[in-house]
Amino acid sequence: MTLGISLSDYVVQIIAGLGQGAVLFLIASGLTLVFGALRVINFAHGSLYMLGAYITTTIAPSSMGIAWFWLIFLAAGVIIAASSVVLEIGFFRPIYNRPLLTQLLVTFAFVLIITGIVREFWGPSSFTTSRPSQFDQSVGILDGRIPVSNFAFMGAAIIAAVALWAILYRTDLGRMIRAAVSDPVLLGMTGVNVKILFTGVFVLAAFFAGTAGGIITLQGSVGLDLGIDAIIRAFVVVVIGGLGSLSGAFIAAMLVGVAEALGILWVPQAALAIVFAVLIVVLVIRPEGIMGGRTTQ
Amino acid sequence: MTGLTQQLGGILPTLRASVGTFGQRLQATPESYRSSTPALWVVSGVLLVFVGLLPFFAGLSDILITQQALYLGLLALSLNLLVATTGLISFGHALFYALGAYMIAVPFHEDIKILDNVLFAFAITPVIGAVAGLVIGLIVFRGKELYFALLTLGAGQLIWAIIHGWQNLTGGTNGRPGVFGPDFINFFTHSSQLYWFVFGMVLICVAMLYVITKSPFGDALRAIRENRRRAEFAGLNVKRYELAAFMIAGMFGSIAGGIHVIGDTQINSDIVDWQRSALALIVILIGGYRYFLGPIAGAFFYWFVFDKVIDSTPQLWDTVLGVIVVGVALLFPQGIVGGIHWMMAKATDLIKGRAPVAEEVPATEQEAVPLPDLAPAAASRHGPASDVDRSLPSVISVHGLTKAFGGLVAVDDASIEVKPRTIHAIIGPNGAGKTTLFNLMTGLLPPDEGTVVLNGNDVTGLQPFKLVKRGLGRSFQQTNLFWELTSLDNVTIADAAAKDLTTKIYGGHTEGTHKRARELLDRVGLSQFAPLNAQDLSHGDQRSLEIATALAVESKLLLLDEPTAGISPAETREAVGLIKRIATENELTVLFVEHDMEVVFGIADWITVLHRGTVLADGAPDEIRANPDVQAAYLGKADENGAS
Repeated sequence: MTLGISLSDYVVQIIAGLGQGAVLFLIASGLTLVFGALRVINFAHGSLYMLGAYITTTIAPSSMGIAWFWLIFLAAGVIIAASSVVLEIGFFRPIYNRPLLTQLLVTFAFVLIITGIVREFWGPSSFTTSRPSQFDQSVGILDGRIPVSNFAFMGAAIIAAVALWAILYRTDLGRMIRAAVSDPVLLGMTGVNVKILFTGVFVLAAFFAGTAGGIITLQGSVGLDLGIDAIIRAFVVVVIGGLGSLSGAFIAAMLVGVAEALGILWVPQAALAIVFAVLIVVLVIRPEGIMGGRTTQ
Repeated sequence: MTGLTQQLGGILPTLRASVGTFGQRLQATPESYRSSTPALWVVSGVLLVFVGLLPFFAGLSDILITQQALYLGLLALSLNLLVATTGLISFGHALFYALGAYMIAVPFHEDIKILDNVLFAFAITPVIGAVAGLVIGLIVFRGKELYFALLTLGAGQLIWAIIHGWQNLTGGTNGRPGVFGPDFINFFTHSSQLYWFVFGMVLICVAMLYVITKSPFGDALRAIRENRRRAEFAGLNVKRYELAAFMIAGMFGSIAGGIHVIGDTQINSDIVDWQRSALALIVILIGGYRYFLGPIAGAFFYWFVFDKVIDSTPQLWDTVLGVIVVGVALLFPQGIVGGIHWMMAKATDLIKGRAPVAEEVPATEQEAVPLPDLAPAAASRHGPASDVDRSLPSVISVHGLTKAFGGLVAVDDASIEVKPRTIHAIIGPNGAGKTTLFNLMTGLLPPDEGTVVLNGNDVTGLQPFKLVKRGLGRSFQQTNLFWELTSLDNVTIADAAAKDLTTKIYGGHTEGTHKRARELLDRVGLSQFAPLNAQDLSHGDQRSLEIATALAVESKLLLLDEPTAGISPAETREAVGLIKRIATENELTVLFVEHDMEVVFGIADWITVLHRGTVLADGAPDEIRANPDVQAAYLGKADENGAS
C-alpha cells in the first residue's frame, strides 16, 4: 500500500497534519476547559467555531493586509464570546444538574439551531473566503508544497497554548478556574461566585472557538460541515487527551492531525476511520485518556 | 420523634438529589408503563389499528412517510432499552442500523451477488447486530457515563467511515439504489403489501421489546440503572447484563436497518452517520423516554408533524427542531406520551367528577403505620447473650491483609477471624481503615497482600456478585438502594438476582419470588411500604430495607458498614433490635463497622479494634473494655466526644 510514497510526501503530510492538529487544539482546548469546570460536554462548541468563520468572512474586506486580518478574526472571537453569554446563562445553567441525556441533547440542539441559522443567512453551499494575499502562496519543502496557512495555524496554536497557560497558572482567575475544576462546591463555599466564574470559563472557551473559526478562513473556504466535522474530531481529541486536560488535548490534537494526514496518504477512503481507530486503541490501553486521571467517575 | 423521623425521611432524599453527582443517570419518577393506565392502552390500540389499516385510506406519500417513522421508531425503541431501562446513553446506535441495512444491501449488489434471497439476508440481521454488539460492547464498556457516550459515538463513526469510504462495496453517499431489482419476489412490488411487511415486522419487534422490558431481565437492567453497586451486591454480574442489553439493543437496531433497506429498496451512507444516532435520541426525548411507546410517538412526530409543517421553511428546518428539543428537554421532559397520559388522567377525573388528586401515595398512609415492636431492641441492651465458640471454623477470615494508597497504608497486615453466628463489631477511630477493610473483603478493592477466606475458600479479589452467590451480603455506610424502584421491587430483584432468575427475558417473576419478597418486607416491618419508592422511605426504614435486600440474597454472612450512621436515636434502637433479631432468627453471622459505642457494646459478641490500619485488640466486649491500649487509643477519646 505504501509503495510509491516518497519521503517528501511523508514530510509534507506530517507538516500538514500538524497544521490541522493545531486548529484542532484551538477548538479542543475550549471544549476540554468547559468540561473540566462545568462538567458538560458542549456539542455546540464546534458550531461556535463555524459561526466565527462565517462572521470573519462576512466582515472581512475583499483584500486586506495581515494587520487587518488580526483585527477581524479577534473581532469575530469577541462577537462569539459576547453571544455565548446569553447561551450560557439562558440554556446551559439550567442543565448543569440535569441527567446526561438532557445535557447532551440540549447542547446538540444548538448545533441544529446554529446550523439552521447559518444556512438561512449564508446559504447551504460553501464559499470562498477572502484572505491576506500572503496566504495564497505555499512553501516548498523537499519536492512538495505546503500552504502558508498551515504555519499560521501552528503559530496560533502555540500562542493560544501559551495564553491559556498564562491565564490558568499566572492569574487569580486561572487559580479560581483550576479550583473550580477540582471542586466547584468547595470553591463556592469560599465565597467565590461560581456561577459567574462558570460563565467566564464558557465565554473564554467561546472566544477561542470564535478566533479559531476566524483563522480557519485562511484555508480559503468555509462550509456548513465545518462545525460538525470539527466537533467530532475535537471530541476524539479531548477523549484521547483525557477530559479536562489541556496538555493532553495538545498532544492528542497533534496525534489526531498527523494520523489523519498519514491516513490520507495510505488509504484515502479510510482516513477518517483511522482517526476513530486511534481513539479506540488509545482508550483500550488507557481508558481515562493520555493525561486523564480523575475523570472517569 | 416520629415527626422528626419523617422530616428526616423527607429531607434526606432531597439532599441526595441536590448533591447528586454530575453525569448522573436518568432521574426518574416511577416508570409509567409499568403501571400503564387502561386509557393509555386504549389510545395505543386505536392508533395501532389506524396505522395498520393506513393503505386503505391514505395516499402513497403518507404511506412512505409512515414507513420512515416506523424504521426510526424501531431504532429509537431499541435504543431506549439502553437509555431508559439500563441508564446508558449510547450516541452510536445508528451503527447497528447501518450494519443491518448493508447486511442486506451489500450481498445483494450486482457485482457481488452472494445472496439473492433478501429474506434470508434479513434473517441474518439480528445475528449481525448481536455479534457487533458483543465486539463493540467489549470496547465501549471500558468507559462509563459520558465516556461511554463518546466512545459509542466514536465506534459509530468508525463503522460509518468504513461504509462511507469503502465505495466499491457500499456505494458510499450514492448508496446502493434499487437493490432488489426485478427479480425480487412479486409480493413486495406492491406498495401496500410492502408497507404491511414493514408494519408487521416492526410490530413483532415492538412486542418482543415490550416483553423483554417487562421481564425479570428488564428488572435487573432497571436495578443496574438505579444503583450499579447495589446491583452487584444483589448478585448481578453487572457488566454481563449491560453487555447483554447492548447486544439486544443492537439486534433490534440491526433489524430496523434491515427493514429500512427492504422498505426503501435503497440505502446510502448519509442515512447512517452519527446524526441518525442523535436523531434516535431526540425522538426518544420528544416522545417521552419513560414511556414504552414514547420513542415511537417521537418518531411519528418527527416524520409527520415536524417534517410536514416544516416544508414551508426549508432553510430553518434544523433550527426549529433544535428549538423543540431545547423546549422539551427544559420545560417538558415527560414528552408527548407524558402529555397524553396527563391529559387522559385529567379527562378521567372530569368524567368521574372528582377533584384531581396528586398521583403520589397519600402521606396519611405513612403515618397510619404502627412502628415496629421495639421490645427486641430493649432486650438486646442487656448485652450479648450467647457465648462465642471460638473453636469453630471461621465463616470469613482475613490474613495479613494490606492495602496502601500511594504512601498511605490504609490497612496494614490485618488478620481477623469471624466465627459462625457471632455478631462481630469492628471499631476504631476515624481513618483506622475500617471501610477499606470492608472494601477489601468484598472485592471492591484488590489487596496488595494477604488473603480473604470465605467458608474455607480463598475469595481474595473475587468480584462482589460472586461473593454474593457464596452467601455474603453487604450494606454501605451511605444507604445504597434502587432508589426509584418500590420497596417490593428492591427485595424482589435481589431475591431473583441471587437465584439467577433475572436471566429470564420474558414473563414475570416466579410466584416463589413474589412470596419471599413479601415475607422479607414483613420481617423487617416494611410490608405497608411495599408500593413506595425506596427514596420516599424514612432513612431508618431505608436501612431496614437494605437489610431485607441483603437477606433476600440468602446470605449467611452480613457485612454492615455503620448500620446506624445518620439516623435518629429512636431509629438506631429499632435498627439494632432488627439486626439482633434477624441474626438470631436466621442464624446469621454479622460483621459490622460502628462508631456508636452504645450499639457496639449493646449487641456485639466479639469486637476487633482497628487503629491506623492494624489490629490493636481482638476479644469479647468485656476484654476490650478492660484493655488499656484500647482505652488509650480510642475509647477514652470517643467517650469524651460523646460518640453517640
